[in-house]
Amino acid sequence: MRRLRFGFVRLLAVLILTATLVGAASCTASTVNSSGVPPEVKQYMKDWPLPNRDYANTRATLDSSINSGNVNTLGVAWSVPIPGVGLFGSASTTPIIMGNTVFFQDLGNNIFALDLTTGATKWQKLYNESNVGPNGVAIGWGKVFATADPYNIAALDMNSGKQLWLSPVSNNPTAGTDIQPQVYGNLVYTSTVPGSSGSDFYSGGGIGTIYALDQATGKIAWSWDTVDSKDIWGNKDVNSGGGCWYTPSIDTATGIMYWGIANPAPWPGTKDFPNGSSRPGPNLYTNSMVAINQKDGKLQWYTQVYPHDLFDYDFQIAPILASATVGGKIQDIVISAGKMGRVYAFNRKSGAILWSAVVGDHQNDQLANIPSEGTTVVSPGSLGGVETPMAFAGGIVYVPVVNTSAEYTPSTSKLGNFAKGTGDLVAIQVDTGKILWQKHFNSINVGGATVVNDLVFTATFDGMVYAFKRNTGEQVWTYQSPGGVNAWPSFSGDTMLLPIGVGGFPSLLALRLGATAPVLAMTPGNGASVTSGAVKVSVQALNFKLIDKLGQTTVNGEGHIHFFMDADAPTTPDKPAVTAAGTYAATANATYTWANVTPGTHTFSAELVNNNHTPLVPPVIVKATITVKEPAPAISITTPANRSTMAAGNVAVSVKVSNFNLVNKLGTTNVAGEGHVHYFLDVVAPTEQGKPAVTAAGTYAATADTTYTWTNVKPGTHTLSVELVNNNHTPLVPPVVTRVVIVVSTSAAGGP
Amino acid sequence: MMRLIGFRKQLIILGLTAILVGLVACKATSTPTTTTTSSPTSAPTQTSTSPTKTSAQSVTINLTAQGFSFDQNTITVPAGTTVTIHFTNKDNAPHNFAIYETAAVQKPIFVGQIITGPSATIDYKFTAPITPGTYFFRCDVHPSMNGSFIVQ
Repeated sequence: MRRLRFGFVRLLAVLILTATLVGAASCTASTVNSSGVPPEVKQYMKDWPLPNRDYANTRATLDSSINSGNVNTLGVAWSVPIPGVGLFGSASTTPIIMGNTVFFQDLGNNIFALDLTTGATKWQKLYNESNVGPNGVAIGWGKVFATADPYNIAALDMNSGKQLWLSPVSNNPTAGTDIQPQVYGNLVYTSTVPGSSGSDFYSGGGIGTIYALDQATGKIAWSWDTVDSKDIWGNKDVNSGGGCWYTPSIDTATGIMYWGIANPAPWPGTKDFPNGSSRPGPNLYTNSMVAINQKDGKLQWYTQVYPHDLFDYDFQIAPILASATVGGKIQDIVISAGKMGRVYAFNRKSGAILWSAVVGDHQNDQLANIPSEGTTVVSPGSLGGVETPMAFAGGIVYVPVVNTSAEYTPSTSKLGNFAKGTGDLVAIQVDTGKILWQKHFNSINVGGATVVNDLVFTATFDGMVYAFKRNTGEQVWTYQSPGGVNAWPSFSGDTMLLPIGVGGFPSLLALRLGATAPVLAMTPGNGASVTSGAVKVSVQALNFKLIDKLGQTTVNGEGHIHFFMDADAPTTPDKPAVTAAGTYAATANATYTWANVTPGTHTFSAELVNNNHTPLVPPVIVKATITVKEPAPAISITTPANRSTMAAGNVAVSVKVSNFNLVNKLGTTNVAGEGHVHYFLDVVAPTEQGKPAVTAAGTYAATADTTYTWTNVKPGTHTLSVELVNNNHTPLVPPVVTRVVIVVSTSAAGGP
Repeated sequence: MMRLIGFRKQLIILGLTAILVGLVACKATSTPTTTTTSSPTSAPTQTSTSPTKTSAQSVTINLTAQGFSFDQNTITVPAGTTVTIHFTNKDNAPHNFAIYETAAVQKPIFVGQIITGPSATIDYKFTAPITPGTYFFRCDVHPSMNGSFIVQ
């Protein structure tokens, strides 16, 4: 890792240090910060202060106490349930560790600050906005930065979680942001991709743009389009592409940052434009490594590794900075990889490719055109190749690989079930590009690679976690986690943090050297909102066996659960942990459903007890204060269907509304539970609390009707959004909004 | 992480048709029972959609999504039957069940509402195509979850 140099001539008049930095204020007491590194990142360099540990994206630590000699003693120390849900589960991120605080974001964009020792929540900010992922937080200058929703980046106070600013990065409804950001030089870096949710990806007109935001205000300092032509390679209505999915690396000596750019669309093509013929040419800058100046966004160089891509082969992996001796010459390099299943090393100054390595299964992946007869099987499939971040240490880059295949015709694709694919971990020597060793798994490897001392860790989708000796590939430790893994660990001291994002009980697990005590986690968690009536509570018990021996003699390490509602869990040793009838339930099941729970605030608890109902010593209890509400307002678009095609002219939108009274009281005082609908065309529906949800004239309509007709809709791709609003036109809290994308064509709809 | 493919639907077909109103749904196995139509290759008749049909033409199928996979690769139903898919989503992710004419996903036959687990259920009700053959079902959110919907 490069030493920091004070190479910046930029002087700040006043360094604004927040008075409430986490931990001791041991940062340099200078009034001028001539380095771009935030003080917290410097202070916690030995923990995990950045998404991939350091600015080189190495995902390697030599500061932890975990090694091949003690890794077998790793046990679960705590488990914190993850409430948010996105397209691929609940978590696709790396937790940040600074001192005794963990910062983490789930795939509902919810952000948490947790105590590293106990897992206790210090604060949480619940956005409940589904995210395709991968996403996550970056910390700097007293703030936590992350996506709040597809169109906005938020900055929160790192000590309280209070939102300090919310900054829009997209006014195109079909371009949204995921990505775990980067922080440097008083700027926060993020990127959009050509989609905002699972239902609108690759709509015509969506492109990815890199943004640098001022960390103090959120204002956009510069932006850089990852698509090189304003008309998107000749057809703005059909084409889309580019964008970045993973955190860039920064060479702090030169101020140059490195981004991997994603794929073009449509892929493989459409009926009217087979084999990508709507976008002839290489489609820059898709599937490229780009080097950009962090200060002003000026392009230094780009190298495209896969032009005119038909197979969704992003070159998206977080680029790693290293040095290597290639051809007898030591040089600074940058390494990346992508879903095409190849790893590339570039000279960091010129962008010249030094070597490339093929990883995983390959078949027909270099085709310039897909044959029109029959179907062609291609590996990697569109969810395949290198999907998650690599690690680098000691001259070796460790590459996690997904093996799937897909069937293609010139205009269609069908991916094989990725849950049934296989995986690899490949160790490549960076001086030569040679594969030194590799491991094969019977589940896809979306668990990244992470180096800790003499070990490299990875994990597969089925939840198996592996540690290998990084020099030889000798397997040293495995652990079957209680769910599936498509997120990446961070390490500090004796602790490994691993998000378990898939399965019936998604949670952030802390594994710690020598941990053996029973662990209990519960959902819903503190601060959750549930609907009145039947409330189901679920627990996860680890280092403890749940068994139906209720009332029998105590046996160490086993027992059952006592669930409590609005009653404190008893803790007196040797006394059965029971409360008044109706306020507790005893069961060996991991779930219990409370019936007829009335609206209001309730406390739900769960306790591990011995067979004879007595508490453990010390007691193991989880408690959550939960708001029970009437069913929430909801809106859905019944017609038109998402991605349907229709003739130019009038487009009628119909909605279904529930748990909300539509009343013709537009512009009058708000009354809870009633309001009307705002319909939007081709704009992002405003959701800012307290501000009327109105956009430019002609782009929105306000009515209490469940249908609205847009007139004279021109050919092209259009986004139709609908939102429930109060009588005074302001959004509901939380906002209730949904959208569909349609294509208006010049020819009549229907037909074969 | 996978992005959805940008298919263009050329037809808009509503999932529920008016003939569902009034039909009696009763549980049946997925193997065809004796019906009043003469053979699977006979031309579609109007009477298969008539509400006055005397023998119940309906079938219920249990389908589960877990680990980003369906628990069945093949679903078989009689032509023109009222089909109920009792769908359980055990993943903490959004899934649905949708049927198209072919894997090209150009012509939808039924598109079910998306539900999010890990413990969510929904009943999808629709009429199976009158024309026998092999159709294509999938989760629209994760298209790699798919299988054959066979109409006999």
